[in-house]
Amino acid sequence: MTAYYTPEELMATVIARQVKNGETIAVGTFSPIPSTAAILARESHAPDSDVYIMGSRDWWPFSEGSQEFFNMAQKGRFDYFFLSGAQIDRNGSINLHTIGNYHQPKVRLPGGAGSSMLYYMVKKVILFKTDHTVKSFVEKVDFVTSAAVTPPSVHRLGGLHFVITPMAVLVLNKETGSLELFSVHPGHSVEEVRENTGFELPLFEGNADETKPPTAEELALLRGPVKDHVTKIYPAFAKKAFGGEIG
Amino acid sequence: MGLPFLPVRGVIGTDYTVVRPDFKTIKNPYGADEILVVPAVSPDVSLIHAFKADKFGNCIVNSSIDDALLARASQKVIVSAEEIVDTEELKTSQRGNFVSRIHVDAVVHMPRGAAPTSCGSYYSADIEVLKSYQAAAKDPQTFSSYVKEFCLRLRDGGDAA
Amino acid sequence: MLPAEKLTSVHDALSLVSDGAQLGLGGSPLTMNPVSLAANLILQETGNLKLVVAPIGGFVADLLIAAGSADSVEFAQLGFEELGMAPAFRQKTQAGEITVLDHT
Repeated sequence: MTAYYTPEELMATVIARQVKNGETIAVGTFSPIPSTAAILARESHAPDSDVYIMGSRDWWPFSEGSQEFFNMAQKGRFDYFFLSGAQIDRNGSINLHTIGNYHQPKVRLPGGAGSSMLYYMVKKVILFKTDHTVKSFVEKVDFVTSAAVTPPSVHRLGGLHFVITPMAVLVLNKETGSLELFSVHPGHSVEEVRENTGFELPLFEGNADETKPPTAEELALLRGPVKDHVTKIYPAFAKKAFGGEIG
Repeated sequence: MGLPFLPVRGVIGTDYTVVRPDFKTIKNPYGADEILVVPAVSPDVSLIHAFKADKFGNCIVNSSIDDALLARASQKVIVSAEEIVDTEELKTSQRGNFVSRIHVDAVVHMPRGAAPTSCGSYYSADIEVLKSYQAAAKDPQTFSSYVKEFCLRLRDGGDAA
Repeated sequence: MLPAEKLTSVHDALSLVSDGAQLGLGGSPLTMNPVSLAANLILQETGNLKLVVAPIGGFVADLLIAAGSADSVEFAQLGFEELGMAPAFRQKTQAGEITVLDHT
């Protein structure tokens, strides 16, 4: 019997499964799902991975402010970081600044918080979105907070690994520089994903599999020790993002 | 650091370079790539709330934020502190970051000086007050008098609520 | 010889802030904000300030913006964490009433 799970649990699980034991995972501000994923990875198959979560007490070993964190990133010492944006475009650029005109925007967003460096210098950046709509997945972002694709004259250590939303996983086709559909979550269809994406979305390598949902073991960890940790950092999120009893 | 600019990785290829003409792209003199440089930020004065301070300006600030760096970067620093203590107590303190008096120009004793935001183990953030601030902001007509009342309550030694 | 004593009244301390000064603000969005100092500064009607948030901030910057004390704000990110956006910052930016200096 398939256990019930929330979209947040699915997204966190998909991310956590990517991590190889020993890889370093860094999480920034406004990132409850990545925080959940990082802690789940540590609690399951990556117990030796270092996890740093901005805004937490338990996952912040630094001695003074945020300089060590950003310097580690700039030195290429992070395997994973997570970014989001009010808008993500076909080329994987993100917008955390403004919708509309920059100087008098329709909507002002919180700002980039280092993402213009992090997207370039972290080996694998995972973009996450808590919604999947034509307004969020646009042809071109109104403001480029950071970009997946840059000219060769710019030093770049890493970049986009994949994009995860409550419906699907998208990846960047390196030749075309455009996002394509990699997998569709259970309960959703290719048509639905395409209807909710504001640009044309080819199937990656001609095929989109079904995303593997969380197992009972993964859910038990999520709803147990992982939830306890996440509650300390994102209490409002923890209250609603984790499902109830399994089975 | 007394430098006019510092380089930063990334950023070239984003719209920061469009809206910040003061950020410049230069050729890396030690490599083949282009690199961004940003001008030094050195505020005229900074306001910092510390856990403890002595009367000479030495203080202990929260180590999970960048207050110690801000103090070093600023031309003048005003510190409000939960407690004024002896220098010895600061020098033996295990918690927080020590900021030397050489960076500080004035110290004011202000218990609950960070409220409604949190202050280490002294007090947590007052979520209700923060939410009522956000709610008051929804009405631009009455928001400025809300803000004035808010400040008056704090000045008179009351709580923000 | 002991070093100079710097303990002073809030009024005397804040006399160090002139109109038009570039004012740095400590703290992170909902932690360690120098709120009482800022409240007193607002009541003194010191204005045209160029705020610098170091580098991720929230409450106190928003309070100064709401009070009309600031001409500009420089920051890497400004918000109220799980509580959402900084309201005065959002309103005034959307109305074009404040200069915004986004930093990396």
